[in-house]
Amino acid sequence: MNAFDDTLCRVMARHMNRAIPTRISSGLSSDPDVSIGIATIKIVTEDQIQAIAFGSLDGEPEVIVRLDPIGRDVSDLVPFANFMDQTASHALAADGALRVWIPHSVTLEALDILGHRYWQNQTAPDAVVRMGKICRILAHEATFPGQQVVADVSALLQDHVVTGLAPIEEGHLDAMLAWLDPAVRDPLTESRERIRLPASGILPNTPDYPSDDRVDRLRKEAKRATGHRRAILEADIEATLRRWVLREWRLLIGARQAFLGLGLPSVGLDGLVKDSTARMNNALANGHYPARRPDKLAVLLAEMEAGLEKAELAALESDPALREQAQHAGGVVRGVVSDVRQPRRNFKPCSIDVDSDQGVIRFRVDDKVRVVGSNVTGIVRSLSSMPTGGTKVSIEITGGFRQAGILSVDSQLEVLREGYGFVNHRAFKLVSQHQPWVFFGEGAPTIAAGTSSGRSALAIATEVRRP
Amino acid sequence: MTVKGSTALVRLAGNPSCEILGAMVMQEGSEKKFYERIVGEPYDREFGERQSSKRRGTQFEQNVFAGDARLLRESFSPFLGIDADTIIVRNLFDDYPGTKDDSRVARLRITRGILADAVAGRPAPHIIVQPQLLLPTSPGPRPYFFIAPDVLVRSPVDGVYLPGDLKSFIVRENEVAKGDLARVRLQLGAQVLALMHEYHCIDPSITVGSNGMLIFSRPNGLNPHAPRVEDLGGAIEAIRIGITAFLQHRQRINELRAGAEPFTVAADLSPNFQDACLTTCVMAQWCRQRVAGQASDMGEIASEVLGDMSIQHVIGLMAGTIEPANDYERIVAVQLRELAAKHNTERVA
Repeated sequence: MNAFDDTLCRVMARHMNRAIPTRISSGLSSDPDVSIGIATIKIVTEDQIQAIAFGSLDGEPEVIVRLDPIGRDVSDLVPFANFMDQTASHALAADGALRVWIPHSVTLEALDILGHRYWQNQTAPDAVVRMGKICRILAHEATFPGQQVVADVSALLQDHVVTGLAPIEEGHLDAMLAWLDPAVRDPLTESRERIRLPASGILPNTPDYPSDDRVDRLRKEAKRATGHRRAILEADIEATLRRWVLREWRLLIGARQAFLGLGLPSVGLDGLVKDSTARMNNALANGHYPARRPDKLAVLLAEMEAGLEKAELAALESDPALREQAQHAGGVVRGVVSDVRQPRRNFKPCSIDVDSDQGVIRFRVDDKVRVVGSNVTGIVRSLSSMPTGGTKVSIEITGGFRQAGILSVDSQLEVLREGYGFVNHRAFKLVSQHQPWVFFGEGAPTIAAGTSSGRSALAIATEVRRP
Repeated sequence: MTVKGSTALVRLAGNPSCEILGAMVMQEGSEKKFYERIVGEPYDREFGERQSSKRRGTQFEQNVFAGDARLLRESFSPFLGIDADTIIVRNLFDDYPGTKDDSRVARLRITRGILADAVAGRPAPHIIVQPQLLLPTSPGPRPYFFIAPDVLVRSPVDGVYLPGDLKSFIVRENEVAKGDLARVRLQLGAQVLALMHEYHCIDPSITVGSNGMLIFSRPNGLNPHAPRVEDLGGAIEAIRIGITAFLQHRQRINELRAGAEPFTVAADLSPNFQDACLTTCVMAQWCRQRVAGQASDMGEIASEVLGDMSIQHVIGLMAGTIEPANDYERIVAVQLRELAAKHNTERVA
């Protein structure tokens, strides 16, 4: 959303005392059968998890509180490790279909660091090592744009609604929820009051809730204490951690309900779901292998770029509100067919002219495009300004020749760029085999001077270019 | 966050036009005290570094500096191009530990001596641990800022020392979050400026590069990552701008306060409320009250889009109770009405 639209939505949210949806469809597919939630409390800076709440989303979570989170003994993590292993097994049985709900990105970061610490730790129990691998797989999956496995509910809400707060304040999940709760009459005051306590997977440390410093002190005392005194101190630590990790869990559940309560249909996400489940299925079955070699990193980058494009196009295809925003920026062209050149009806060749009121459009000659809501595809062949201030776009149709309803004069249509992102695995395989200097060398090799053909590189390129 | 030492400069660099920040830097005592004296109420939000963070920071430094800074020597060995066992380290905390001004001054003297030795070609350590530098802003109140890099490392190329800072927070694959990196780069920028000042005193012809080093913690235990060399051209310039702004604020505050304490003139100063204040400054809520009802209360982007228009004015444009004063306001009104129609809100007639 551009800055202007975003600001007007914020004004509207203030006026209406509620969050304003900015999308008509959801960017997240429906929950698969294997769907879980995880909330964590970590030690600030140390990034060690000191409490975890986890489980299915329709019941009470299981809670682990760690009395000595920076110690070497990780046996207290075993219940969580077993849960993750079971979840992974269920997901594998469902061909990789998995959904992990988390309250915000801090939880993902905590899981990622947990994974880093234990996925190759030879002194940790096997279950914890397996847990480390699963955590790393999840964190890795979350890096792919448009992925459908990790549902960061804070990010989802920020992607789908706007409130009357400043954007920086919307990072606070509890504050966001004030704008989505009809029972809150004055969400501005309420949300800013809620911001006083953190909602970022850490203990609060305010004058009225000095929990972080207190737990730190209690841990020190517990280390020195023995017997009954020690048990009291540990119970105190446990109660504090349990209370705050359950608050994180309730935020997660409340925010998930609020998100689902928006009632946005999940359409056009099949391709993204397929990509995500395939990646998960492969990683859960075969393990996590981070890309290190240059060609592997290039493949990863290409996958991410393709994912980004797929996600953007899926959102545009299925969401008229997003298309309208894109139209303002020229990314989508809305217009009327003014001419159809198709010698034989329903057969190629066919080309059409689309007259649009839009003065600014982002299409360029040779761009591959598609007509929204149909299988009509084409290539932009020319662009010209119209005397009325709009733009005429000439498109050579390359697919969907039988769509007579669209390929006829006066039909109204929306055109967007076709996705071109893909991963050229064949090329990368060759790179892996031949290890060219571009990927693997420190510098360009020295090439002996040859005889010039006397022709310019541009002329050669023009000659080999496909018509 | 405090407003002392290099942190003060980092914050001034982030918001150079805020006079309130200038007054906070000039005021003796903590930032929290400054708030309480102005507002007249106790500060009810989180303040200061958590005990757990302090402990982690201390442990990380102790671990890195232990055994004649063995881990540090191993980390810097590739950069210095010599074996870790032959690297010479001088830890100034061994001579004068503590953060009291007396200790700082003593360490400053030693640091200056080492820099002079290095310039003169006399033996000098490869790494100075806990050196002390100083950035002058004299004459006037707060005539200098103490700047304390964690280490100074002697460049094998030109023999000039580079500042380095240890960060105990966990970093994976040595990749740092953008926000964290921006802050620590500014900190290094202040250290480079202080180092430039010290070298300038020895020999004005010495060129101090705009590089600094960052050493982050690995996820496992308290081990350091390989040092990251950062080009700090932009950060140094930002710190310079921050210092210039502070000198201007100081002059204005001195004129206003006529000998009284800086906090007494806070109401006459111009704050510059911005989004980042909410996460860095105790005065954020107080400053925000001054822009209540304005577009900037909804963030910097809204402020750029709506300019000086108040939120009530914009709603009036939508409702039709206020006539648009220009084409821009007309567009805003039309767009808002379309938005209102979409969300089934009733227009306030």
